[in-house]
Amino acid sequence: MNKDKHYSPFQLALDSFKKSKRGGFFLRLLIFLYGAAFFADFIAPYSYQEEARQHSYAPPTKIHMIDQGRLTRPFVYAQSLSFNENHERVYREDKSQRYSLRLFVPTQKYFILGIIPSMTRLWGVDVPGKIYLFGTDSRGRDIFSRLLYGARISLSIGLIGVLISFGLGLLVGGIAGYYGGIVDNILMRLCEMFMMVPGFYLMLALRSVVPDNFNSYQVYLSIVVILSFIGWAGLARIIRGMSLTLKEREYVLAAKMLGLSDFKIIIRHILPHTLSYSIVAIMLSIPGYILGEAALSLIGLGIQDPLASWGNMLSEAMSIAHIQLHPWVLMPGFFIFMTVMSFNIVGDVLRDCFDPLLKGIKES
Amino acid sequence: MLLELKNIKKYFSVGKTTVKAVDDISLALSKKEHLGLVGESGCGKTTLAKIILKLLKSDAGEIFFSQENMTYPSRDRLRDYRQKVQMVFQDPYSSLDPRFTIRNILNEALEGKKTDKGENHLDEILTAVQLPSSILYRYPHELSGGERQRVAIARALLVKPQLLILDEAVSSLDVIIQKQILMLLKGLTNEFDLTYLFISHNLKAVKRVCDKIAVMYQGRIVEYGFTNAILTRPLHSYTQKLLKASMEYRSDKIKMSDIHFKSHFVEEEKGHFVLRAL
Repeated sequence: MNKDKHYSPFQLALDSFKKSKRGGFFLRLLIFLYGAAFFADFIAPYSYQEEARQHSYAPPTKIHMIDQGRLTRPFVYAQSLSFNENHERVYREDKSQRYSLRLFVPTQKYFILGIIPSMTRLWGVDVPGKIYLFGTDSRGRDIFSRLLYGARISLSIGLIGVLISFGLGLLVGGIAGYYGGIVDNILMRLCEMFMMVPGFYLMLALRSVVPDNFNSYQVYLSIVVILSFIGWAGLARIIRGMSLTLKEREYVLAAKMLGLSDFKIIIRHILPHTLSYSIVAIMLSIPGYILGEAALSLIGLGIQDPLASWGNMLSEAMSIAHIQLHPWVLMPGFFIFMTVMSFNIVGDVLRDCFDPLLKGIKES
Repeated sequence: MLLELKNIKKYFSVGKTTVKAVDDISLALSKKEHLGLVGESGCGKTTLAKIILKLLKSDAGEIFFSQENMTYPSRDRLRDYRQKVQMVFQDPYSSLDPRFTIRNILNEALEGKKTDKGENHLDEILTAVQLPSSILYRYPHELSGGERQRVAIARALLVKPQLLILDEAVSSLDVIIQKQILMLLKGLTNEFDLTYLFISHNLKAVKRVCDKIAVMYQGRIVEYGFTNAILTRPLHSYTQKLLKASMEYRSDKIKMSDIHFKSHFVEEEKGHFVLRAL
């Protein structure tokens, strides 16, 4: 480390995180997922609501590289649907029709991020060919494209939900711990009221309060609010406990004597010291939000079709028959698993980095 | 009188018993006086300091600061008062916020005051406590105990206090640094017009800095007088024990015989307060 530069304990912790291979890998994976979600409309070959009923439950399209023993640019064959004697769907490749894979294929006009008009998408096949990387769902919509669009909702719900509930939890916990006494009592009893009710029932109860005539975006926002409403109480309790001890620290007393206002002391000298804990807690609780949204959407109370979210895409996989016949509808489950695992591992590594350093031991 | 305490009481209830942390203490400090408050751990020294700083509420009694009653101050007056009275804590490892650079720590002290001097002021104060200005960019965990304690003193001095309370301010440091800090404190007296309340159980340190000593025992002041008088002829049995216990004062230096001369002191009605002919 550069000797002339001076590092705060926080920077030292981040430094040791950067050195961790495991943490770095999964953090990159998360950044990749979020990046893909952000640029979903450009990366996805189709829009989330583009249906091709004649291609319902199409399996993942095979991409061919070899044509009559010679290496060529990747291409796909057209697929035709027929039914076998058990009335099951069978897709056959129609070898007479070949469509090459291309970068920057022209499509109908659409808006990247809803602002930038665009006539091309990153990749695709020549029309009228279709490529379904992860297959299609019952209505013949490309699962890969829907996964990307769904990631926008599923991944952002975690972040926004966590921001709201942690903001609330930190503030309430900080105030309760700092002032103590009757303020503490009232705020903590309030927290306990929320913690008393089982989370999932509270979620359902709150969801039922949301009016039916909400459009998808209002539903999305209300889900975020519902989820963060459930999450803040537990954090507030822990932060309250921490600030109870932190307020006795001598630098807090010193700040008090310098005439700083209570608010400044809480913001500057109490809450930042809970950061090492809360960053880890944030990382570990984001999966809860993703799963919460998935659970709500899975039982049809969350994001509504045709809008995609990983949860409502999974609702196609609710019957065992579908999983047997079209296992690719489970794909969103795999992505939920990957995301949740990444957040957990990153949180875990972060905890290891923060723990020794903020106790004042300097790494040599 | 700069500071006057009148019959201060503070009891804590622990289970069924009450601990009398501060039991009816009256004390007065005049300007530029250096008073040492000596006593064993748990005798209520720090509690008394916290009461003076209004970090704790006293159960009974009154506090006067510059003839002003500060027992129940308004918010604004409390703010004012707290800047006039500053404290340096025992543990320099916990009195500085580890997340802040020294510059930010010191700047925070200036925040409440309306000074436009800013950076120059920081340099001035650092020279006063004998620290290089390069220290401004460092974090507390990069400093030694002595350096941290100096930063803590600098922070307290930045608001130009009239009374500085040093709560065991040197006890966690090694002897050489202790000496340096004590010399520094002495040197700062004239420069900043300071009145000290020096809380310690280290008699040598107290001797170096203080004009007067108050000995505290179980929440009460049992002996009060000039440093020299107390160190050479202790009257209360606790003071004698304390002196014997500290290695610097060999028992032969203390004239134990004087204790028996009742004519030297007047005993107060309460029986625990020994008043000397000052």
